[in-house]
Amino acid sequence: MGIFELYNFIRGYVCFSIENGFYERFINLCTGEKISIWDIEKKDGKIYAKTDIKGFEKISQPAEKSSVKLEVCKKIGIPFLMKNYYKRRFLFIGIALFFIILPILSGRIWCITVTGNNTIPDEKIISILQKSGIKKGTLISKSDSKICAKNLLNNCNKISWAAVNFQGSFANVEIKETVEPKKKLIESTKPANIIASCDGELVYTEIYKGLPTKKFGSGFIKNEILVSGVSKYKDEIFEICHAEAYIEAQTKHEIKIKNKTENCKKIKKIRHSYRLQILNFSIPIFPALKPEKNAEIFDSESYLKIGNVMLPFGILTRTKTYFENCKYNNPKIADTDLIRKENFELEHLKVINRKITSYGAKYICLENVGIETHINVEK
Amino acid sequence: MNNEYFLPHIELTGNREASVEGCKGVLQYNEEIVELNTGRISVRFTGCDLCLSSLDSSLAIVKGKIMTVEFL
Repeated sequence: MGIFELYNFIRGYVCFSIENGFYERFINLCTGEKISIWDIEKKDGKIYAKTDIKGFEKISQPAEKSSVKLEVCKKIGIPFLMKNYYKRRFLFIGIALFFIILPILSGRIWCITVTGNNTIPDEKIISILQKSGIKKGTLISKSDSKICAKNLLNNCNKISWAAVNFQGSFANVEIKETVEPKKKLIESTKPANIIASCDGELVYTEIYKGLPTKKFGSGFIKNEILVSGVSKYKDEIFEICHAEAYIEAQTKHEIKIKNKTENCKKIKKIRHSYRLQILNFSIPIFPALKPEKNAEIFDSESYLKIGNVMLPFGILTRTKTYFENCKYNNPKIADTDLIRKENFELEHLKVINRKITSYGAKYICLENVGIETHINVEK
Repeated sequence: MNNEYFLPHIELTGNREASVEGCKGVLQYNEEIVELNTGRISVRFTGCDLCLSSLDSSLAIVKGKIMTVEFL
């Protein structure tokens, strides 16, 4: 199809035929009225020609004057096609939008998945990635996976290895966490003392290695040496060893409760707010929550899924939990706060005495107070 | 005044196509003869399978197998 034919197809044209009458007069009248006609040819006793839409609207008058019989053979072009499918125009608009929007959206990141993390929350890793420029809606072509992995390693000490891979519109983040020992133990070959973790009074000791510095029933303060790793003999000979012992002592603890004398209790209140997440846009559904002092705020997200694939459409929920003081006349209910704190703070201790006071309670407990500390030996 | 201004400008592409500038109308048209009015003179093309591929107020293009061109 030549450029001329394409141009006419876009504008639209009509093929017509004329018979009988005066052909030449008809052609001259058309040219006189500036009606554009072309491809005029004679076949089977008829003249066939083509004209545009504007010309076709005016062609009846010259046909009448030249006494020719005008007949429309074909209507060709986009305007005629659009007229036929006018009722289905939104279908074509939708198809066109699909082909425009698809390449735009497919070149961006819409889902970030994190694997390999046990102790580090996903949100922390995603927030580090956001600082590197990777978040929902960013262009994949402008994202560098190596720089993102490097930023993850630099900004989080708990990560020993990280990799970021882009698959379609997904950013898959794989990490390996560092393994730390739960307790830093001093090697049994290295010299060590045993010191007190808090103030108390010695009740029971089992010495396996080392020299005890305190007797049964004696008091001590925090960080005082209870079992020494340095032993001195009569001949001024010193022996250095790794002290080992189990030391049980009587210690004092105190728990204070706010507003205990006022006899008030706390009522738990929870408020929710929701936001609709579409692609990269967050639209609030309900008004934002008012800020409250000492309130715990928890954000959660739930997205639509097809199988295992998470779509960038979902709802963000913000939950605000806070306590309000409420006065009451029953003092027994105030003790529930005390019991709750007791169970939490004195969980690993053996309580042998408890005394209720006006602001809380005092306890006497039995516990293992020994802690190993390294002895620095200079040669 | 120069008389050349009133004469048509005719371009022939072999014997297949002729474009005539200065055409004022069609005097005769069929498959074998096409006669155009160009003012002071008229031009007649004879041949076979002749057609007017384009016709404007001043330009006409004749296509087909042109045997003769006559000036009348």
